[in-house]
Amino acid sequence: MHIPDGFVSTELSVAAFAISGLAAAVALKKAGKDLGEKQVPLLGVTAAFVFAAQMMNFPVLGGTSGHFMGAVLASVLLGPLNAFIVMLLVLSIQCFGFADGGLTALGLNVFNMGVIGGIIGYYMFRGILAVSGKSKNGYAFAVGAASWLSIMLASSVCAFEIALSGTAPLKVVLPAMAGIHALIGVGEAVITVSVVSLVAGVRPDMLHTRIAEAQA
Amino acid sequence: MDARAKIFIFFSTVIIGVSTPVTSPRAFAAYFAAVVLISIALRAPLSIFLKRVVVILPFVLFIAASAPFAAREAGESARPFLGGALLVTDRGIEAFANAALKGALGVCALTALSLSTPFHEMLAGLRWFKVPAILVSLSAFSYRYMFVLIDEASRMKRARDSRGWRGRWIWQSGVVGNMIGSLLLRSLERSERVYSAMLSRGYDGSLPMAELPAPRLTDFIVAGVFFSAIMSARLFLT
Repeated sequence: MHIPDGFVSTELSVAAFAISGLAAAVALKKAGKDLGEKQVPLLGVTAAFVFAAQMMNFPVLGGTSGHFMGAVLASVLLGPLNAFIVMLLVLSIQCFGFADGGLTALGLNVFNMGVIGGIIGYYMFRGILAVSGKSKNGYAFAVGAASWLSIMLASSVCAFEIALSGTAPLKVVLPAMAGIHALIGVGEAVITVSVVSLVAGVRPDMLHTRIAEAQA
Repeated sequence: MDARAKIFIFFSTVIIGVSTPVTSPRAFAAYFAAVVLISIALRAPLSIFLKRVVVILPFVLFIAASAPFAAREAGESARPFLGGALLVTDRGIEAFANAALKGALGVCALTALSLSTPFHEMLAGLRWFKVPAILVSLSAFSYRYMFVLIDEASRMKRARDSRGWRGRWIWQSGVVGNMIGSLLLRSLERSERVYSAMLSRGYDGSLPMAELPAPRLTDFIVAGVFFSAIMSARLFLT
């Protein structure tokens, strides 16, 4: 889902840089106020963790594999704005350090995976949690559903961006992206749920939205 | 070469390249030649170039596969391809060439930058270009621990595979979930230990960054010549 250079139009790139830049300004200001000096090790190590976790492929069908995105996981752990910062760091390091994702598309990649995956993903999680009940299973369901939706939404928006730029027609790129990611999203959901249940069992203090708090 | 000069020339190559109409292949040839020449001069290993360019290939092939369909939407005339099995249009080919050329140029330029510049120098350079200090120190921190955690992850993978795990289907993803979960717990606990260690060494919320040495005259000359070459290709070869 990392868009390279040249795949999207200038207008879209500029607009995405503006939105992502604004989100970054707000998130960094808020993080500085809330977490203070502790934010650097916590957010830095979480970003490094997401980077390492993205290297663990999960099986999809008959030996093919997808990889983990981690935006909803980060937002359940750290809250929406900190999750955005984590995704911003991961994507910037992938772009500058490993040439993965284009420089002029960085704003769009941050929008797709940070704003949609991290921030909107978090509010989808809270929204589903409000409906799915306060039990442990309801919590796991909300985590899983939000993870799947975040992947579907991010990949579909990515398809729209490519189609709007005239690089590929929508009726080809949207079904292809959404189809592949409907499966990859299942893997994302399975992994996010098992990671969150593990953390909830061993270190519940690490969760931003705790099960106990959701029950209250 | 000075990190700021390298950031300047490679970023401007990408931006100028993306703004170039795809109908001017001579300009793109000049950009690629300039990036390859400067990479050789900066002693960036060319074999890694090819490896990184492979990263964008699936994406580009995907666009190529959709090019014939572009015709019917626009209602343009189409030419038979592969013995008439597929129809291609000029618009489809143009969309393909545009994405492939610019995507490859971006990968080459960013690869040249990252292979020739140590990450801490790149961060110091970005700091000079007014990237917020907090973002720079967070990136430095992530980059430092990334390799520690990647090593941890590959140890876990090796342990799993040596016990005979062979995942083929999506419902086996739970195993990977448990591994990522343990990796997360180890990472979070590591971040707590790192934080206490930093506090005990006088950490006050800011990471000291090494200052870049002042640029030399050759940095200005190389950057100036490179930029003028790219700019004249943009202006006169399109």
